[in-house]
Amino acid sequence: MLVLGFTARSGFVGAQDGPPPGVRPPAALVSISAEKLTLPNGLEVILHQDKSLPRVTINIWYRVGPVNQPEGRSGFAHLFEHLMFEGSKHVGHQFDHLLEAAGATNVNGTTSWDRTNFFETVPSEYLELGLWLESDRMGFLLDAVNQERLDVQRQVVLNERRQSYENAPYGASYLTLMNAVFPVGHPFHDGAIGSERDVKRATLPDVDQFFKAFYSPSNATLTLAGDFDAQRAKALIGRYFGPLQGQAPLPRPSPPCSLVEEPGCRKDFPVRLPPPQALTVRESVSLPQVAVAWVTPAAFSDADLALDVATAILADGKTSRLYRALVTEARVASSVTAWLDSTATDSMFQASAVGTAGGDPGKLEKLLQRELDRLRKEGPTEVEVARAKHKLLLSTLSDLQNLNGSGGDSGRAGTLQRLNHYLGSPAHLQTWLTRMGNISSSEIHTTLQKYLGPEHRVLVRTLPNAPNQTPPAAKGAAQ
Amino acid sequence: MRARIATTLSAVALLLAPSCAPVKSAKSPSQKPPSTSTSAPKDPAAWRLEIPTPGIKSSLSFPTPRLQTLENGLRLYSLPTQASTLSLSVVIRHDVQILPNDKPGLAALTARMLTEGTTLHPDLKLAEAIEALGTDFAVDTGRDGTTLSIEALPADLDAALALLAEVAIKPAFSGKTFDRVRAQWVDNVRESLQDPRSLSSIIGFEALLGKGLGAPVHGYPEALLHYTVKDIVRCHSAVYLPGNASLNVVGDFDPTTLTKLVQKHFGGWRKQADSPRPLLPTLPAATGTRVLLLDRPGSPQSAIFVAHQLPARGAPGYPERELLVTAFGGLFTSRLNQNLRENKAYTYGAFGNYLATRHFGALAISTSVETKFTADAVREIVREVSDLGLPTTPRPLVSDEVDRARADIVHSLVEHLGHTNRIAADLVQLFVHDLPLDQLAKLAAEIQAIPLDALRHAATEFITPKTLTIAIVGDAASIRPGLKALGYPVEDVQKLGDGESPQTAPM
Repeated sequence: MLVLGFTARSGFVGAQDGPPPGVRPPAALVSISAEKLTLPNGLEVILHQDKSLPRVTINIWYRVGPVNQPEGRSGFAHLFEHLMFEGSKHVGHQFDHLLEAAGATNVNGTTSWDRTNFFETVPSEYLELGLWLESDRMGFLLDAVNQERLDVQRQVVLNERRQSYENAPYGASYLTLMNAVFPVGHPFHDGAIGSERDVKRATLPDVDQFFKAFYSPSNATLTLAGDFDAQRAKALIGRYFGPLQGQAPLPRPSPPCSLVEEPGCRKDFPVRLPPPQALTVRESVSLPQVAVAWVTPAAFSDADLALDVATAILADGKTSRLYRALVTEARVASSVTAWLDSTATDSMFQASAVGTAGGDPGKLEKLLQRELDRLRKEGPTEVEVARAKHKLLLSTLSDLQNLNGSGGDSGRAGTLQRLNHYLGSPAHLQTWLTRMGNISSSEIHTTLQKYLGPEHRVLVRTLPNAPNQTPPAAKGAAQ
Repeated sequence: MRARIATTLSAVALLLAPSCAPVKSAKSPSQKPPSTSTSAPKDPAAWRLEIPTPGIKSSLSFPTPRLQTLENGLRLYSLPTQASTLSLSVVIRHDVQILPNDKPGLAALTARMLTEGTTLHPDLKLAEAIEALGTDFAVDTGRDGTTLSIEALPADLDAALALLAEVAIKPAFSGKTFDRVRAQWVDNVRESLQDPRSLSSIIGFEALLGKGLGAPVHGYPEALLHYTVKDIVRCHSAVYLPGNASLNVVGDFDPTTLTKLVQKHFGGWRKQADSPRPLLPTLPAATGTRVLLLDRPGSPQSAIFVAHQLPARGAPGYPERELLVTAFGGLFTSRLNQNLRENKAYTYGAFGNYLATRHFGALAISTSVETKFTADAVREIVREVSDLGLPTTPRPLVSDEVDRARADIVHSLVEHLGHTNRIAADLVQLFVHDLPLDQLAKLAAEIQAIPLDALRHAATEFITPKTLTIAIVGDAASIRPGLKALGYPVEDVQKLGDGESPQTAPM
């Protein structure tokens, strides 16, 4: 079966009048064959066959995340994700043991702002085992969760918080930035990991309510990618997932009309903008860092796609704006990054630079802002846009070699899920890539001017603690 | 996300922290259903208690790459696939001769300089040329060698090979650029030393392997500042030679065209003169268990790194050691992680890997635990390792845990075939460790064939309890009393091996 086929559809070029000199346009786009169906109980099923290796990925997305957490329960969606591995009624506490014995790889779950996913890749002969395991926790989790397992996973999550943020360089700064971008009252406040206080407050009744509200087949999409027989897979999915009780559908992201013109599509992407802020955090680091962030429109909106290209223009490779200006020319930074965390509602665009030993953090901050302002005011060049889009195409092609990505939101299974989640159908890969290919430098310029201005900019500077001094409290930090 | 380890065969990437090992084999899961209460109401879904039986077992097959050797000694490993992107890499096997005691980090800094301009594409021209192909160089120096990798569209094979050859053979090594890159490199190393987990592994390897082999691959910041562009040129001249190198190409290409293009771009690489094999440094003898403690005041967690010497990659018994360590600490359900995470909740994850290089090996265990449980966690890790190695252990390895490790190793090898980058990484190993072309199939078969008794014997042969190196980065005032109570001498670490003062600012 053809898995990745080059098509003769629109090219991935930068400008209408051809590529700029020195940057040759990529020749082709990619397609992934996929079939989508919906069970009577509301479970969506996406099937993508590829028999080149005897393995199959099972990847389930639930349309729930921190955005759905009750007040005072930050981190709960993520804590719940951990509990999904703690056993279910008919499986017992042997989920990981059975999968590892079968030769499963990439077994994990992740929690993002508006979705939680679970996935594993198994040898083809163990497809039924995987479906049995996933269906049992979708239908019968509460029979196995108890106070002891909740207590253990609560401690594990608090250790995850320590390892990833409290005891990691720039981790506290990141949480500070996020809480300034998403202030108190915003569902993303305290991040997907949550505050220590809220994680400690989670109770078994919370688990019960959350499961009943969100872990229903009608709020989930199951994707199979890899080596399986479609008819048999459908029969097995019907056997294991069909009897599970669905419920009234919950609201789901509406696709942008510019990509998917259908009833219910969105033309407007309002965001909750924070006031401008500049905060200072002291950490146990030797190099200063400056991070700047803005709230930006939803995933796959025109602005989101344009900003995705902008991240590559800013910080991907030695030719990028921030690398050239801050690392190569001024030598005030040792590394630079720019990235976009896109969600169904409020996304976050971030750029940051780590300074040099003994360097002036003030100069680092000034130059970072100068380059960001310059790009916003002048816009990118045609060469920059073409180069960035070429990189995005190659990295997408490379990623799509994988049956599934390590976070379950990339590779073929993860990409189909992402497209289905945000655009309503896995068939929009071409739509998305074609749109990306047509983004112009003027469109990026307009987007930058609209969303990356100083009036809603949040900045966090990280300064090293002096050795052997009592650490001062973070100034202005939201925590 | 739950803590997981990556499974990769890419052991060239033996940097500051060990890369973890691979994988293996299929055994049916236990067919016993979970126990249920007989007094519970009848469950209409009781049919779900039956664990599905697997279908017809897939046959596992591993493709054999092609090996060609150019006249100048360069080895070309290639494997055509239908993938829509190409993975290409040049590997330089540099052994220990350029990781001398007085110049740790020189090999890595030399590799970093390769991508800063060539004689044909000086400075930024090189970046513009490679990025115009939508790609960039990835440079990875480990304890056994350096790998320069790129991805490319199949149509760009010629251009990609040309640029890869340029950076390997004709780097510009401009003095002005070197000053900037060295400063940046030093800051990048300093940045990595901010991470308590990296620090604990550096301290642990220094103690385990001694000054020469135990020095961090990326070097020490203060020492790196004294390296000159002459050091870089000398290093490049000594080892960037076709007889020390392999070229790996995986993806959609025409074999005849590839051969011609490789000859065109790499055929002119000058042949090296034979040089004597370097003498290997002597590893320090393992004595009693040591605890090394670096104070990081106010740390909410302690980063713990525990290491034990094992034989090098090429020593007899490699598959047994790989299986042993994977069963012990390579999986989520391994006894190490089950104990420290799932039972005691001390940590987000605890894993052990077999770091297998050409000149040494190590069982390397890493975890971060809540500060108040530091001594408890160390005690449990020591107990787990001891129980593995004692001839009269009360908890010998059992078939279920070993079979999970077999399945993981073998099926991870199969999964490597799903991406050209992972296949290329496996080809790197063939060259670095002088492995046969059918290595993947051979390793999979060997792992599946190891009897449980032989593995238990290997555990007692390779693991000697009471010879552990334990490095901890954490809040010394809080954790020292508990560590002392364990009965081990606690050595305070003030400086890294080369006199470097690590970052110990309070939290």
